[in-house]
Amino acid sequence: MNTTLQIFFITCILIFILLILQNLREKKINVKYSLVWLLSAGGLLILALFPPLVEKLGNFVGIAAPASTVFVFAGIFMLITIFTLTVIVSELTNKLISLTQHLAIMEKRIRELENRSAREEDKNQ
Amino acid sequence: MKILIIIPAYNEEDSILSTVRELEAVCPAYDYLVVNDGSTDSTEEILRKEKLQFISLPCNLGIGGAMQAGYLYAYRNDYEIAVQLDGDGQHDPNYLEALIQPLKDGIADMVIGSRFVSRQGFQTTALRRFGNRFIGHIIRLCCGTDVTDSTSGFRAVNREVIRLFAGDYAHDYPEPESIVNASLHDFRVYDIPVAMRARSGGVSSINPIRSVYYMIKVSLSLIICRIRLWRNK
Repeated sequence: MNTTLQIFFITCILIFILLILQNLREKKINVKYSLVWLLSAGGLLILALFPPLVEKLGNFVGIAAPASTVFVFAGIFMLITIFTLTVIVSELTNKLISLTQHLAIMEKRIRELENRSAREEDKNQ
Repeated sequence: MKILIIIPAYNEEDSILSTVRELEAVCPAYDYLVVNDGSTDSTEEILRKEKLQFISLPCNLGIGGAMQAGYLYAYRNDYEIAVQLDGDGQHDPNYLEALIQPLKDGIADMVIGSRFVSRQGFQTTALRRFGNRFIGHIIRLCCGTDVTDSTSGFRAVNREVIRLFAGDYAHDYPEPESIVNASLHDFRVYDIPVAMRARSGGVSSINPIRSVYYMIKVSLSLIICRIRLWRNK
């Protein structure tokens, strides 16, 4: 890997990590959800800082070009991240469904109580 | 015996009132609950104006989420039997007694009203009948239960099944999947013959062109349900 490319990679990853930290500081994202991003960014940073590691990793799994190794691992990180998002969305959907159902049942109860108290007021007058 | 008829309704302004009125006339002794599944038409206004028994979901959850809300309500209010009756007028309340009887006798935990046992009344297209048989085969493979009309929404369940469904009910293809779910929890599922009518209003949610795609998705969800509940059998 040539030095210009390496500097480019490192700069990009650092900006990315700063972006995550900034969002965390402003509480725009939850710590729980930022972990997968921070871990993948950290992994990529280590690979970018130590190019021989990329070659070793490439040889280990049998990828000839170091650049391809980087792409393959970036792809793997993305798969993990996107899958995590699907898990999160599904959890949220289940919670939303449950909330919607309980809210509707509660609304019926309030309606009945209001009707009952209105009737009682009518009786008292 | 406390019995609740759950009527899921999504955009059924044309038929919901007549469905409920007919039910009240045929079975005045049973409670009913309309579950308005975030309808965008005037269904909710009709329910309010006519002072019907209903809950209204603030956003559309689909038939699975709506029915689960009904089962949750039934569970919390200590109903012993819950019946699903569609809001489009396809299901004839005169069959309610026949549907509930096996539950009262204690010989079944879940009873499904089937169009195909004796072939009376309104029949669907050949493609949908084939689809129904195909899904029936998949269900038999998944849990050994024989049903002739797995997509029928006309069904009754007892207290234990109400409890199961209040906590775990399929959201995508609830009719066939709930059969597999109940069977794998060792509940006895039976079907009895009923005649269904052509819907009195609204549009069917199943598009015939998408039937094949539907069958593939249903089969997949049934197999996943089987895997999910592997330990149960």
